[in-house]
Amino acid sequence: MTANILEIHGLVSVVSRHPIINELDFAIEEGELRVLVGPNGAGKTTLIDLITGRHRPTAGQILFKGQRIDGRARHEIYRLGISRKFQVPTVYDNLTVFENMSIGLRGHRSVFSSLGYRMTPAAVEQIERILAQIKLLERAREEAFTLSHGEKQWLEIGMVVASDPQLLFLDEPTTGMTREETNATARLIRDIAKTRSVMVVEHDMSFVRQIARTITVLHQGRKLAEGSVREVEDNPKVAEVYLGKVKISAVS
Amino acid sequence: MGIGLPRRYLFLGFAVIALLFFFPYYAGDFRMNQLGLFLCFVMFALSLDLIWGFTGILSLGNAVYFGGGAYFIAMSLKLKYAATNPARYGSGIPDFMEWNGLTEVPVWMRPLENIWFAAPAGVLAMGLLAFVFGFITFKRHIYGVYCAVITLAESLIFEELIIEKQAYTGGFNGITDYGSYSSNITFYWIILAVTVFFFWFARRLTTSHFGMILQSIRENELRSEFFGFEVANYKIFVFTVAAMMSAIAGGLYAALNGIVSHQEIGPLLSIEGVIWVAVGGRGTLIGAFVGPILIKGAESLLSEQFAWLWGLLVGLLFILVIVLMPDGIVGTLIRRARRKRALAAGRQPAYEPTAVGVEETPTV
Repeated sequence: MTANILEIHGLVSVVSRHPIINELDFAIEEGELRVLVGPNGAGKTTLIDLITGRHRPTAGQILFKGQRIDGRARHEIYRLGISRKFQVPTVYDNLTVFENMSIGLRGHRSVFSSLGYRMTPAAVEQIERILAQIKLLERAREEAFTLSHGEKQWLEIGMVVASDPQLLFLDEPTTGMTREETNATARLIRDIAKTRSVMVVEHDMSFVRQIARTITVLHQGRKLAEGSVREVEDNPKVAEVYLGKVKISAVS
Repeated sequence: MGIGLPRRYLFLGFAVIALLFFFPYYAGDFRMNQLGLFLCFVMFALSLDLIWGFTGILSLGNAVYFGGGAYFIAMSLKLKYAATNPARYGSGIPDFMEWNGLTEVPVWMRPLENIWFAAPAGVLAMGLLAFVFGFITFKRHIYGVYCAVITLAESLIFEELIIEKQAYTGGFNGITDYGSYSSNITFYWIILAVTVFFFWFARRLTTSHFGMILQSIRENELRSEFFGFEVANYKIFVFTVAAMMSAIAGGLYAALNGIVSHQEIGPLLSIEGVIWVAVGGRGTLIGAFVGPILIKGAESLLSEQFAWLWGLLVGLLFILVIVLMPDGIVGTLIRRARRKRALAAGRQPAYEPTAVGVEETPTV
């Protein structure tokens, strides 16, 4: 039996008297690739915000490798080995692609260690390897604002991969991508997930089918269903939640 | 020197330094003194550029540190001057103290009489003040417009303090008549040397990995926090370093100008600094040189020509630059050059992978 890298017990997040996350129990296994789906307002991004320290939970516990992390500062949580990609691609527009990557690269976080830091050939090589993987090597010297929406998504994925997390959250990584780009992203994510635990938030069901082993469906801050793609798609409760908007199996 | 500038920019830089070095020989004392003061403003703008242009902290209180440094030096020179040139009543203490009923220099002020104590003490005191102020502000995640308001308040408080405590500060009149270093070519060169050193230092800092992190904070603070940077510490550090640079600039200013007043510590100079940096070009070091030289130069030339109109003309110049060039003069020039290069090459020159050296982009 594999251990859980992340465990959440009775998590509650109340924002102006509205429960966004409601008594949620949730776990991710070591090395797992998990997909989180759910209608708008289900609390998917809030869940990531709570885990990574953007917001403090109202109640409940978050354990990373058995250690309480709820309520700790963002940079501390990062340093334990948790990274995230934002829903809207968030890169440093006026820095070059290469510079963006060098910020993401793990190590040298404190003021004084970064003052004396000079990039080693090994670090440059590592950045170039990731840039090649996300197909941005040729554009390494251009500022990030020259990239397309999809390329920015890739760059941010590249940056968080460079930060070498043990647990990685990818919030809607394929928004604004063409079908081919989406397929390439699916391959990329499967590759990334070989060496670490990854949780992906996504709407696009054909993309989800490409990468998912286990899907968790979130609805009104609660876990509605969890299981394989097939199990979730056949779940009548899931169909009901999505009905009137889009039927989950019909989206592709 | 490891500042990664292309050779033609380095050449241009040396040419400008040479021009400034020999300036006194063909321009005379008056212009030399004027340029010396402008260079102090350049250093002030440079320090503001580090915190605003590169890190994205809009401070409307940077003059506190400039003025603070200036008052330390002015006070030191005044104490010395008063001791050797007794004022009207012959007591050997600064005239403004006499006017306010003091009979001797307060004990806590006496060490300032030694300039070799006063100068470093002023710089360190301003560094400490900035550290404490930065700690309170940035650790509490106060940023953006709130930070601007708080620093503005800081500036107002210190201006008020200077005006109120006139027995110790000279009050509204400031500190005057202490024998300045004006018309002294050696002192002008010292100012020039410090300015050049500041540029070298700022260039090193902003092109280093540390400088990259500062810029990442300017671009997106939240993203950097989630990359494990304790953003507040970076801000406190750069805020403190900039304050000490400002204090040095202020000290040189006081020694050259022969008068300091509450204006050098209050919002007026703080905001003027912001304008210089905006006109020169935020986030470009050369902009911090161009901005104050251009605006103060224009102010001086226009006020000599148009006795009453010059203020309007300078205001017009400022508005024109901001409307036509929102990135400032140097910022706009850099962007144009970049676009031209991109057009000429179809795209920017393709990146050639190298594991040997890291390309540094010219932030100028």
